[in-house]
Amino acid sequence: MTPGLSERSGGPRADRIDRPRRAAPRRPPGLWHRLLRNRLALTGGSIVAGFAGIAVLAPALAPHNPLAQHLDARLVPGLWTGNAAYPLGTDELGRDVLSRILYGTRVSLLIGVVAIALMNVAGISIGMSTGYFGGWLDAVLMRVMDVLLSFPYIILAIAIMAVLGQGVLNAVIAIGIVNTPTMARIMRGVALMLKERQFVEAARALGAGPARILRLYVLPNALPHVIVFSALSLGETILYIAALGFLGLGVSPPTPEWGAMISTGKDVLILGRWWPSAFPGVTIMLVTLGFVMLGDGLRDVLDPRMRA
Amino acid sequence: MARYVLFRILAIVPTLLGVAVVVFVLIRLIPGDPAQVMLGGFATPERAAALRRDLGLDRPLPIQFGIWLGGLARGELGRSIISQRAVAEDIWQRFPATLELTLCAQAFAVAAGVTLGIVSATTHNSRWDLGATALSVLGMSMPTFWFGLMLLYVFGVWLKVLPISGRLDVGVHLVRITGLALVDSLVQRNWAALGDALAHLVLPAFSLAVIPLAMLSRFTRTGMLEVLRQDYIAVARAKGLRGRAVLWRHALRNALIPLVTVAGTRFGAQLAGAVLVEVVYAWPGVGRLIFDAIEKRDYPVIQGTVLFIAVLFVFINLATDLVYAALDPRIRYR
Repeated sequence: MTPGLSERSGGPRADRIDRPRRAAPRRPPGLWHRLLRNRLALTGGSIVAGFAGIAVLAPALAPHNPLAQHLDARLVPGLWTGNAAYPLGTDELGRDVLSRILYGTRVSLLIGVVAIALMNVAGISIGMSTGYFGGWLDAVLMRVMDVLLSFPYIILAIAIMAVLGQGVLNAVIAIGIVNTPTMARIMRGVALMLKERQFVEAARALGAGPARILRLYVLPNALPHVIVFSALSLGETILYIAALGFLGLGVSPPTPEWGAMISTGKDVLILGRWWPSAFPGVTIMLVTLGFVMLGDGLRDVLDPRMRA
Repeated sequence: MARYVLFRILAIVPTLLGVAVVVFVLIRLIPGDPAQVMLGGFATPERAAALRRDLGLDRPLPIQFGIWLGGLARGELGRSIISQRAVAEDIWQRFPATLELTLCAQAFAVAAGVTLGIVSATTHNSRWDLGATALSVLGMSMPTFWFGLMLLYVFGVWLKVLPISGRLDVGVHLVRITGLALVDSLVQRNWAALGDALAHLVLPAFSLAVIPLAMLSRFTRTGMLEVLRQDYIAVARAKGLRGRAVLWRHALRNALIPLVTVAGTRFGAQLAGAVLVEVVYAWPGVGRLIFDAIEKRDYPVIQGTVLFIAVLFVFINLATDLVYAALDPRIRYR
């Protein structure tokens, strides 16, 4: 990337912001610049990065062991009554709500990220192959996807979890399966569109086989869609994980998980103890908001045509 | 149009069959012996064998599927292994409660969401617009059940102005006709029951309405902004029509068509969202039925209710498509 190029594409501030980027010459000019100038992407990205940091540093940040029960300090309110020992109060077993929220970040982000990875692997393979090859493969696989789409998301996830039982791996499988059909549909559309393009035809004329074409020509061009949809899905996925946890179908107790925390907090809410359920919900909202903003911002930058 | 309708209706037959296969296969995926799992601590080899025979689990899969499908055709969804009641009957008893909750939530979401969207679009980039957009983004990022709990706390526990669980207070009597408490109390002119039913409905319906409300306001805003930029709006303005006439007669009508799809598909999803809200408010609907069945590992009930909601979802999507085609002629000719 020459400085001149980025100046032309990115405006007068481009030079200053782009200079450190010279080390990575293969990035398309102006992409980072546009991302950094996009307030949505920047805010959302910061929130997501913040929570990723919390997930990694949870043991260092948490004031207490998230599983430790302080039976002499059950349901004590937090900072708002001047209690600095338990800033967000304690739950019905005297466990520190803040520490559980911090550790809960690990569960939600882990399930979310792995489930979305599963969705990407399955959705991209199904979508690209059906779109590119067409024929009976397309007919069969897409009918299966249509059937999966005819279940409301959460109902399908509930059904799968009810059958498989609690657990991180099962939650990943359930949420991965639920998300796959939408990804497959998107990728099928992209593959259908790209396979008619001249550069794909040129590759075919040069003797490239389907695997090579899909890997080197179709997939890279489909990446913006994958990235944007993954970020947006992650937001929703965080909500699904919480919903499953709330219904008692998420990870097994006593692992701290936000949805399950809200569920157990429900029983003491009626007694006026609002903090064990209120704070996990605020956290879920923040994380989801972060992913949605990041997804929206990424879409504006990477793929303006996808805008609703 | 007739051809499109026929095609669309025929197209759901394989979908419904597929849904039945998925639900059937799912229940067979229970790790280990389903009979053992269902019986839990009460399992003895004889009991497990008897349950397997009852459920038809000792026969080949295709035959099991055939028997099950035959039962479905007669409206049979199996029997609860806990209460021994027919699942179809349980659903029938409880569905009106879910329907009432979902319909009220949806009606409120459409009315409020569209209004908010119009206000946003007409005051584009103002403080109002910013506020409405922020609210809708927040609404979409919120876990429904958590929002429900917080409302429950504020209005039911703290301010004590609204009831926090169930559909009617214990002392209130209402003869069941349709099962929809609002309709039944209206028909019987039982005003005390009507007031009580309304009071019980407010919080759950509002909680359930938040997500579709947020979505509809966002879509209305985008749709209106797009339509307001069109040439024919400029022409209408140039003809000297008043702002309000342009807005209502020209812009809104066209902006609303795509909303039918959003509202329709959301309505289906609402039935699923009701599961969570029903758990929060102990609302005696189908969602609560699933939740209790999950806790008790009552697989026939889970299977039956999941199938019921999925089939309903398919039909709602069909209805949405047909309404959309009726409103927008371009669809039919594609």
